[in-house]
Amino acid sequence: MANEHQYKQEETTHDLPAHTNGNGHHDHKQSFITKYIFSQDHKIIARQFLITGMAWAIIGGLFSVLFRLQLGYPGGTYPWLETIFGNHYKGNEPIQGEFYYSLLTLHGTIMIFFVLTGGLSGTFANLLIPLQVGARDMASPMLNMLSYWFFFAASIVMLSSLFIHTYPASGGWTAYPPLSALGQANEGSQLGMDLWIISLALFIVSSLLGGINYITTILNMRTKGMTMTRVPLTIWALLFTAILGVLSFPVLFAGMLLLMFDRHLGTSFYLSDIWVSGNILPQEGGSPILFEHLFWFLGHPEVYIVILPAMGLVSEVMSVNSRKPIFGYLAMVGSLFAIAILSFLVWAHHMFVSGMNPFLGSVFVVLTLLIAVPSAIKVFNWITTLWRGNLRFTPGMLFSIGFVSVFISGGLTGIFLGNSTIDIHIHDTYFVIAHFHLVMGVAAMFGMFAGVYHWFPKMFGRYMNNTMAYIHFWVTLVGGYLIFWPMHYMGLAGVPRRYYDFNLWQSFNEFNDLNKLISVVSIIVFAANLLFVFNFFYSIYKGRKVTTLNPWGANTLEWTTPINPGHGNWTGEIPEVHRWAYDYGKEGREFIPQTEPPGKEEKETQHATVQ
Amino acid sequence: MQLFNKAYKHLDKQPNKRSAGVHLSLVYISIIIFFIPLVIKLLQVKKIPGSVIPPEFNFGTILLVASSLLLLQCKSLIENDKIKKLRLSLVSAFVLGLLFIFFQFEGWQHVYRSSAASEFKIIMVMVSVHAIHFAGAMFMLLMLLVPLFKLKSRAEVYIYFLKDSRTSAFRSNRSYWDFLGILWVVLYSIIILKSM
Repeated sequence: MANEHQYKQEETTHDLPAHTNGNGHHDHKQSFITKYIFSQDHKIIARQFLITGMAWAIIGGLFSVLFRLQLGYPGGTYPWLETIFGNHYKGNEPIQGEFYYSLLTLHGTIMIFFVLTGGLSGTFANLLIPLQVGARDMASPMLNMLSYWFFFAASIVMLSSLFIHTYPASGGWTAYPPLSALGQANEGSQLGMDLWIISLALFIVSSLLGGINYITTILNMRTKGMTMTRVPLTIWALLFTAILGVLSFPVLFAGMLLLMFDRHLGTSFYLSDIWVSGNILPQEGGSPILFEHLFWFLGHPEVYIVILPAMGLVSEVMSVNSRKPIFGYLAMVGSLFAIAILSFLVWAHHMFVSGMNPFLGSVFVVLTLLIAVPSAIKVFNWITTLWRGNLRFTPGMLFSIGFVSVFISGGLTGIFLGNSTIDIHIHDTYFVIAHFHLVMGVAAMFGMFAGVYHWFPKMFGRYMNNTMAYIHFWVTLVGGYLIFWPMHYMGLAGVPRRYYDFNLWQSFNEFNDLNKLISVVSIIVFAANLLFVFNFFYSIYKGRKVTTLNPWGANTLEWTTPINPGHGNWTGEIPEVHRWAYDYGKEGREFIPQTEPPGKEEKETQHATVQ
Repeated sequence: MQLFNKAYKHLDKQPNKRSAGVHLSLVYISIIIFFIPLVIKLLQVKKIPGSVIPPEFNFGTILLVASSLLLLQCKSLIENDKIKKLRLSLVSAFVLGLLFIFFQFEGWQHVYRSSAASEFKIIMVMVSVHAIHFAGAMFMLLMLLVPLFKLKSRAEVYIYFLKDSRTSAFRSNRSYWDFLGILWVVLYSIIILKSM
C-alpha cells in the first residue's frame, strides 16, 4: 500500500506540456493507415511484431498438437482437418507420413524463426531499445518499418505454402540436402521447398534490417548520461542478439542461395553421386556437408538469438520484482559477451555423426562445454538476485522464475549432448528433442511471456488479467515439464525422433502410454496458451486501466514516459540519466529512477562510474 | 504544416548525426560475411580454366572503376554549385553502371553455358549476388538524380544541399557504390588468380 502511494505521488510530479492531449499524443492527426499499418513509430512496430508472432505461435502450436495426436493415437482420423488441409489430408484416413513431415518442418521453422526470433526479438527490441536508452525512435524508422513488412511478406509466403497442391516443405527445419535440393525426392521438396527458401530469404532481410537498426540505435542514440555501464541488461542482451544476427544470418542466406542454384540451375554444390528412381543424376562434385556447415554456422547462434533477449527480459523483470539490484551486473554483461563469442565456435557439435575427424570433434566438445561457464554465472546471479529479495509474484515474475527453472533443466542436458562420446549414442533421439525444447523453446517462451506481462501496461495502458495469467503460468510450467521430461527417458531408450508411427517396432511399444500422456498434456498446454491469447486481446480493451506512470516502481526510462506515449515518446525534453538501472533498496529507498541525480552524500554504485 | 513542425520540433534534438555511417558500416560487414562462404568455396576449386572466365568481366570492371571516379568528383561539384556538371557526372555514372550490369549478365551466361565442371559455377553465384546489390546502389542513385533535374539555378542548388540529409544521402550512395566496386575488384582478382 505504501508503494502504491509512493508511485501515485510520483505521477503528480510529471507535468505534461500544453500541446499534448494528456496521453502523450501530439495534436497532429494521423490516419489509421499511417498510424497502425505503415507506422514508423517503434512502439506500433513492436505491437505488429508481437501480434504477428502470436498468430504464428497459434499456428505452430496447433501443428505440434496435430503431430502429437498422431504419435499418441496413431491411426486416429480428424475429419475437421480436411476443411483446412483438403489438399494434404483426407478426413477418413490417418495422418500420412508426408503430411506429418510437413507439420514437423513448419512447426520448427515457425517457432524458431517467426515466433522466437521475429515475435520475441522484433517485439522487445522495438519496444524497449528507444524507450530504455532514451531515444525518440530508432536510428532509421523507415528501415524499421521495412523490417516488419519483410517479416510480414515472409509470413505470407510461408503461409501460402500450406495451400499449394503439393505438400509444404517437409525436409525438417534444417532442410538438409540432398532431400531439399531435389524436387523428385518427395512432394514436399517441390514448390513447397521453394516457398520455404523464399520465405526464409525475406525473413533474413527483415532480421538484418532490424538488427542493423538496433545496433545503431544503441550505439548512437543513447540520451545524455546513459553510458554503456548504465544501460539495463535488456539492452545489452538485445545488442548482442542483433550482433549475432548481423554476423550469422548472411551465412545462412549464402547457404540458401547455393541450394536454390542446385535446385534450379543445375549446379551441384551440395549434390554428388545421386541415384533416384533407377536414374543416376548428372550432378557430381558437391557435398551436403557444406550445407550443414553453412546452416549450423547460423543455426547455433540462432539458439542464442532466441535465448539472449529472454535472458535480458528476465533479468530486468526479476530485479524490479525482487526490489533488489541485479546481482553481478558486469558479470551478467560479460557472460552475454562470452556466450555471444562462443556461439560462433561450436556449430559443429550438431555434426558429430556426419563423419568428422574425431580430433576436430573433441575441439568442438571443449568449446561447447565452455558455454556452461557463462550460462552458470547467469543462473547463479539470477538466483542470488532472488535471494532475500522482497519478492512480488506478479505474472511476469513467475514466468521469470519459471524461465530459470526450465533453463537449468534444459541446460544440464546440453552438457550430455555437447560431449561427442554421449551425443553419438543419443543423437537423433527424443533426448535431443527434450533438451532443446526445454532450453530454447519453453525457456524462451517463458522469457517472452514475462516480457509481455511486465510491459503490457506500457504497450496498451492497461493491465492483463492476473487470474488468467496465473492459470496460464501454472498449466504451462507443469505441462511443459510433463511433456518434455518423459522424452529424456524415451531418448535414452533409443526412441528415434522424426518417426511418425512407432507401431512397427515392438521395442518402442512400451512407450505408447507415455506418448498418449504427452499428447494429452500438449493439448492442455495449448489450450492454456489460447487462454493467454484471449487474456491479451481482452485486456487491450477491457483490462484494468493503468493510472500511474510507473506501476511496477521500476527505475528504467520507459516508465518516465506518459501512460500512452505518442510518437517521440517524451512530450518534453528527453530525460537525462544519472545512475544505473538497478538502484533498488538503496539508502533506505525502495527504488531510485535513473533520472534522479545523486544526492550530495550519495556514492554511485561502483561499476557504473565507468564512462 | 506549421503545426506538424511544431509538434515534431523536439525530435530534431536526438543526436543521430553519425547514424548513417554506422548503418552503412554494418551493411558492409553483413555483405562481406555473405561473400565469405562463397569465396571459401571458390578457393577450394583447383584451377579455373581460362575458358570459363568471360572477357565481358574485364569490360565491366573497367566501366565500374570509371563510374566510381565520376562519382568521386561529385562532392566538389556540389560544393561549387555546378549543377550541369553534377547532373552529367551522375547520369554518366548511372549509364556506366547499367553497362556494367549488362556485361555482368553476359559474363554470367558465358559461365552458365560453359561445359566446365560444376564447381566453377560458384562464379555465377558471386556475380548474381553482387549484381543484385549493385542494382540497389543504382536505384538509390536514380532516386538522388531525379530531383536534381528540377533545380534550375545555382541558388536553388545551394539551397537544396543546405539540408544535411541530402548531402548525407549523396555521401552514403557514393560510399556504397565504391564499396561494391572494391568488392567486385577483389572478387575478380581472386577469380583471375585462381586461373593462373
